[in-house]
Amino acid sequence: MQEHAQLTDKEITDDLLSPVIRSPKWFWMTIGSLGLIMLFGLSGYVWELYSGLGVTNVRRPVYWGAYITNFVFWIGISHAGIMVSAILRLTQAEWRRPITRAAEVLTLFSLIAALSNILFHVGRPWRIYWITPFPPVVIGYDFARGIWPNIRSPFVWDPVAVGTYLLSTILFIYTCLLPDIALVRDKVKSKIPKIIYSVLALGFRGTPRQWKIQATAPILLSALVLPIFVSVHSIVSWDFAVSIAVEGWHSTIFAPYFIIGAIHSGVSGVACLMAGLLWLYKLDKYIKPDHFDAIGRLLVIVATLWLFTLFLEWIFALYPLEDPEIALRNMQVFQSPWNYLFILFLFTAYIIPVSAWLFKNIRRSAKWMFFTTILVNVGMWLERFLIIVPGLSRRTELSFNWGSYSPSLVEMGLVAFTFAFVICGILVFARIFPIIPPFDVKEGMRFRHVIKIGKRNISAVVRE
Amino acid sequence: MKSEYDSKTRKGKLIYPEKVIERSLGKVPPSKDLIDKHLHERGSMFRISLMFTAIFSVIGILGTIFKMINGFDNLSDWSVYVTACVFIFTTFMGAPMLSMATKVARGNWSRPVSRLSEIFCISGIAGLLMFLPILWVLPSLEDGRNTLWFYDPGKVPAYSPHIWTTIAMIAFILTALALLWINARPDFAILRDNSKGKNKIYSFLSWGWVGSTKQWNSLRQRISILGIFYFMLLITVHFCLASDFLMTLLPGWVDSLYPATQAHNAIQGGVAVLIIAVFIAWKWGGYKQYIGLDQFWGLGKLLFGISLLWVWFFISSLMVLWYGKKPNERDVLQILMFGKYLPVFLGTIFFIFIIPFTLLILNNVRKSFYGPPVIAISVLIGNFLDRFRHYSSAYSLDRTIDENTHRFVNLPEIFVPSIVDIMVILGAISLPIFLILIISKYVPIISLWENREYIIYGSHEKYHRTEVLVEGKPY
Amino acid sequence: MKQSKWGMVVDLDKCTGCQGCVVACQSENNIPSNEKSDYDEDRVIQWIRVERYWEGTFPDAKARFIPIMCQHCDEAPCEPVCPVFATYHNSEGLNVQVYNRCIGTRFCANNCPYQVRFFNFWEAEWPESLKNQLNPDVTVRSRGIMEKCTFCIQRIRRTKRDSNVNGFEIEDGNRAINTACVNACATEALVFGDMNDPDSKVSRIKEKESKKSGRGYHLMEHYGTSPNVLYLKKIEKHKSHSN
Repeated sequence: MQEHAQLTDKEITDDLLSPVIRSPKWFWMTIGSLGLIMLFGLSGYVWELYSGLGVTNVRRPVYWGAYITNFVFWIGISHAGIMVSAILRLTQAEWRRPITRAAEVLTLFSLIAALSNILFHVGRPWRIYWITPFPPVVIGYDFARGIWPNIRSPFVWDPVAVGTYLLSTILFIYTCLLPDIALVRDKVKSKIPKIIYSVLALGFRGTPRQWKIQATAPILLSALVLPIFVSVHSIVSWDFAVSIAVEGWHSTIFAPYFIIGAIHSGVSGVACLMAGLLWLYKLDKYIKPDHFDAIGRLLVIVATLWLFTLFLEWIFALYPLEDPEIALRNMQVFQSPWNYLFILFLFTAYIIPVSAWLFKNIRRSAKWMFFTTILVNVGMWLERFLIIVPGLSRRTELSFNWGSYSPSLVEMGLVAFTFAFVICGILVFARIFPIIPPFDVKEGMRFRHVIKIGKRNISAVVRE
Repeated sequence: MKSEYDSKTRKGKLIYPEKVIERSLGKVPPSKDLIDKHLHERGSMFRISLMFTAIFSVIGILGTIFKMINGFDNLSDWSVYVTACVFIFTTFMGAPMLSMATKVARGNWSRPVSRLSEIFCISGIAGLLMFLPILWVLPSLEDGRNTLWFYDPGKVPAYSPHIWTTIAMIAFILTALALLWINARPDFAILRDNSKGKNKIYSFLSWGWVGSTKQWNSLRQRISILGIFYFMLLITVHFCLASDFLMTLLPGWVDSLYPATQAHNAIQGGVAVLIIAVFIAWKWGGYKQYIGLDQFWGLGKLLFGISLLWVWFFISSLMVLWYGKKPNERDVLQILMFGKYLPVFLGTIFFIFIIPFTLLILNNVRKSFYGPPVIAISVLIGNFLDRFRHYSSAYSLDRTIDENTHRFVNLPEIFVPSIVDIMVILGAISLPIFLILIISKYVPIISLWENREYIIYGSHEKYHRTEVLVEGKPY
Repeated sequence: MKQSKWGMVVDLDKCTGCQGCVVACQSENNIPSNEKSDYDEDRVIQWIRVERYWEGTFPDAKARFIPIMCQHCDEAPCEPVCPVFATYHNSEGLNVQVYNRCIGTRFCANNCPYQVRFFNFWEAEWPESLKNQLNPDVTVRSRGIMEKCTFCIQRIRRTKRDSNVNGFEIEDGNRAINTACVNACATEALVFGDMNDPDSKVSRIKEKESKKSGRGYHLMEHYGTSPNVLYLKKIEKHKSHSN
């Protein structure tokens, strides 16, 4: 915010475009090591494709395990994009400027990671396209005559919602990228990249008409994308909440609980990403302690709202004093190994981070924000696990069927694959396009004023 | 100006931005016009409304006394009373949230109307007065009433939920009154210095405010802390109200989302009632110079967004109950929506969602003086119908349950309000307004010090070929 | 011929827990043998299973057996959640599983309160000698799909076809149309029949035992699934359920 120096346009361009023009020294090593992790995970998947889902630890009664947990987790992280880009843009918060594109890119890759988890999870992934309503004419004999997917199933709503979100994210990123692609096109010297960037820039020259459209388009897109913000994770939460046969799932609070959890998880992911980018690309002039301070304050509010919805879920699960539900909650809190996981989850998702974020010094330090936000996401992964698995392991009063679950090596390998994939994707994106939008930062510079009242200088900004 | 900061070595000095706008506090004194408006005698319209609200409040009190004479045994008789009481708490006491929220988010556009929203804090007293008879309405714990607090005869002590709800409400009202007083203190000081004759009251109310830096700093700190506390208490009160009044341990009724839904409806009702108050102040209060299109536009945008969010809460609840097809949950849907209460339900959807959504989506309606207030009235009607649908159906439930299927044996009929109930509704709406009108004689309804800040921190500047508003962000 | 509605009655007072039904079902429906590793992994496939609960403590301990198979619920919770329509309700009241449509999301298994749905985690294998024992009327399922009790729909289809071709009426209790488990039950604890036929044994038992004085009850009725399997035993309704 006002801690920025007033930088010249040329400085901004040089700083933010330098990782695009020439790759930083650490780039190929990092991509290599992430690639190794991804390869390890993928080899696990090849093994799973070859032998069957038996290589996972999924079993009767816990038919959903680490893959679905991971799916919900990445959908949660993906809410960062809309939160930071759309909502902060509509509420005209200036501190969003350096971080919008990174948040959107995080969203893009987390959505792809989430969808890949569905692929890993189903029994016959080579038939997964049956969830989509391709007309029987298109893909020939493989399709039964005129059988459509079941619209009543939450597993059909999921791809629709996530697909819509993915499409709008791609549109959003691309629309806001146009001036920056044009900038890169003008700076790049080698022939083939220049051609590719020229094609991608769609002829953006910076004429007044183009800038006018460029200014209105993100606001329109933000407003249009807001219903998606509310609906995507609600629909994913209804995968669980509509099920009557699993204790602890049939609760109406699931939609807001998951959404607020997603904002908590996603904004923490953005903060973590920002700290990482700050360290990797040496962006001290653009990402200031003020940004982390603002994110930290937002996170305190969101985390406390999340704790409230968690409290609501628990208290109304216990309120009817039903034996099966109480037995399930007893198991979650008092029996091993769930009790350790539960305490770990509470501490990492709320108690440690929020107590840290109450202090201004911690909020302003990128290093502390990095570690506390990683803790938050560990906790949120555990939260999804603790919602899905204990409920499934003791589903109904037929105790003859109770079982347990812990993830296998293949599953953990694929979870690691998704993490490596997202980080790798962001780094590759940052290599090709500037990850901090130069035009947004330059716009912010132009909007800044100072109101001098007596001896005090108050930072001011142009309101649209 | 080139900065001397070297990003490779991370050394160098940062230089401050250059576009400086000079303002002087001395040139922006507290508006004499505003002070005069507040201090002069109120016109006939004020006195007429005071009289009418007083009469209706008395009618309401009479209605309450009739009901109390009739006894507390028939629960369904009291349903409209409870609806009206909760309606006050949700709408009138939700209005101060706007002032708190925009202060935390550091928005400037709400400064002229923030005092109007804070003044609604006084209506909590009316709500508390209405709440007291209800304590006798709820079934007592000795009858084995299952409560939120795990009452189990012989095992768990009977901590009464009445205590929790009453404590939450009293804390809520006290916080609201504290916020009102803290925010109005600088105004009382200005009035003390500028009025003749009424000095004693204002000097008592301002409690030694001189406007030193230390006092201003502590004012801002207190506002932000108490504001957050107010928000948390709003959520707590709605949690207690919803779970204690509405959630029963009857099969299918327990809806874990309802406390959050009720808190959200409170904010929606608060914004709606604030729009109406702002409109009255603008049109008949003579404050046309101070309340502009910006305020109506901002409030209209808020109302639009919040009405859309209402749908999300509604569908979240509906989806889980409808999809599972559990018989007792289907019964709840029959009771609340598709059965006897269908007209009320359709009315709710129409007033609280269809009208705001279809009208406020048009730019012309949102950014106008008359658009948001008319739609706010619709939202308030819808809010009341929504409360009525939930509370009176819950209170009219026949509690016999079939053992095998765990379903209700009889579904309740729709409750038709009687004359006494209408009296109560009139009183419930009028009493808070009466209190607000009385208090507005002492608390200026446009905040003097915030108006000054609004003028100082906003400045119209020439920007390239156009003129823009530059807004300061002080903290 | 009038439309049939297939139902079953399980008399728990006659059930000895011998698991003859389990073995019969396994051989009729080409279910792979369950080895110890399957039990360790909790991946046993038993379309009809006999659950055993202990009542009381030693020396007064009693074992209670309850055979549970797919209840073919009228309002089956497994049906709306399948994304590809691999499970649906046919006109004879059976809940049908279409093996080659299933993609194995396992949502139906989660939504079944009776936990009667099974997933093929591995490719099924039979030793060479046992391959001649496979039933040619029943699909051999590959890995990655769900399966469950079908009320031996292949037997129903075959008998109806035979009766059409050869012109005989299917009378109630015809062992060709009975499910394998019903045929194998030594104590006739399991009874199968057409509930739309008022003279069938199933209908008569249902009418007699569904009265207040009778022993008939459905499993976990409060879920509202309207199962088509009636259990007979005098029980005390569980009082702590309020939802």
